[in-house]
Amino acid sequence: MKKNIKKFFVLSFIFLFSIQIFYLIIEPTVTIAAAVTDNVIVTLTVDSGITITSPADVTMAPNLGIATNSSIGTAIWNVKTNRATGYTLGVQASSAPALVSGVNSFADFQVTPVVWSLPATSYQFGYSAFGTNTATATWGTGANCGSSGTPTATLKYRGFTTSSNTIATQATVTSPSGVDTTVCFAAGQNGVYAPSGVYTATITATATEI
Amino acid sequence: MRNILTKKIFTISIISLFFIQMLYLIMEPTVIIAATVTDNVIVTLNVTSGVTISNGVDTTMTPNIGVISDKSIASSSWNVATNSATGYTLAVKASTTPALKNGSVDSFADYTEAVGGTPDPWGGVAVGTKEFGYSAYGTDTPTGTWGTALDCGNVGTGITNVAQKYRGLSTTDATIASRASVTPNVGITTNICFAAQQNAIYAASGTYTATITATATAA
Repeated sequence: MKKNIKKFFVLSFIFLFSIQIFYLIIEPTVTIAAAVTDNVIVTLTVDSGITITSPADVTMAPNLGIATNSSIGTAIWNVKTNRATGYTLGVQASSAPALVSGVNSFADFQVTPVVWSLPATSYQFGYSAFGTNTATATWGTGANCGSSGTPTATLKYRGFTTSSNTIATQATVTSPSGVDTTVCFAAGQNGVYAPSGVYTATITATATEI
Repeated sequence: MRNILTKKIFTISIISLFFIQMLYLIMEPTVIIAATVTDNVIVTLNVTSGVTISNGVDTTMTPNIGVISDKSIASSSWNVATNSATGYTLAVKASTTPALKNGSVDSFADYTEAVGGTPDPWGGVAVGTKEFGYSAYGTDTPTGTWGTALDCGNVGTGITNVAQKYRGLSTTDATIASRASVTPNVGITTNICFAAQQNAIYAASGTYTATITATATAA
């Protein structure tokens, strides 16, 4: 038995040695006279990655009240990716309706983006977006969220849902500084009072590599 | 014998290569799952509680009380609007006791209820007295307390609406309307009725005034 094992190791060594010799023969390191070539293939893997910033929570201004009917707020997300096929950025609310205060809530604005305008006897909450990668045909051409609580007339707003809705997309790598997308929040009351209180909405932005 | 060993060497070599290949597949997966990152922001909207009250119109009671006219009534109203989630209360009080006075010349006593502080129908005033009281009606005024009338009575005769219940004013607030929720934007109007009467006694001629303050408070 021991004899066989010994033979096995000896033969294995001889076999590997032979392979080595064979390699040296067919791949000489010293070239003689005539031109010879060789290729090496260098491989680098660039892993895809994506980041999103975490903007501060938003307090809409001014406060709504019996003499104030409209309020706005702003959040900016910056997305960076080296994904060759780019990214999408979507937003969604954690609840429906999105903006709630105990038993009271603002209805979600309509789901098709339109210029901000509230139906009579309603109070509603919605959002719009603008930025380099935001489609102006969908979201309008506004470049700010408005002023003094009044939403920009050149933006188009829609209501939140609990499923993600795309607000920006790019089909290529971003610059290292990323791409900002601004989300504009708007709330208003028309012909009816929203009950007083502190209303909150939790909005999740999701950046996904394509 | 040699063939057997050669066969074993090849078999072991193939098995070794297979395991190395499997290890590579585990350490370096070829299927890449697209990455996703998320972030939350909390959006806060403060809806500030507020309440407004309209400026009630000063009122002159009719008809005038005199030697052949013993009763007189009048009305005014306030409109209250609030977005307070818990509503509002509206209360009234007089600036003096008694409320209706003609300087230091004379005055009407505040209406005397059968049960103090509990409004009751204006059943006339006791002989030898002259009194002044008020009632209220409106959407947010409880009919159980103030009666079911929808007007103050006959302004020509000064006779009060029998369906109303009156009480005397005091210098402390008495609630005449309330609700536990937001009002409509146009607010809620509460009407107040005033009544004065003399019975077998003359109120000294002159101009009597009462200053009534209505206070709307967000609940």
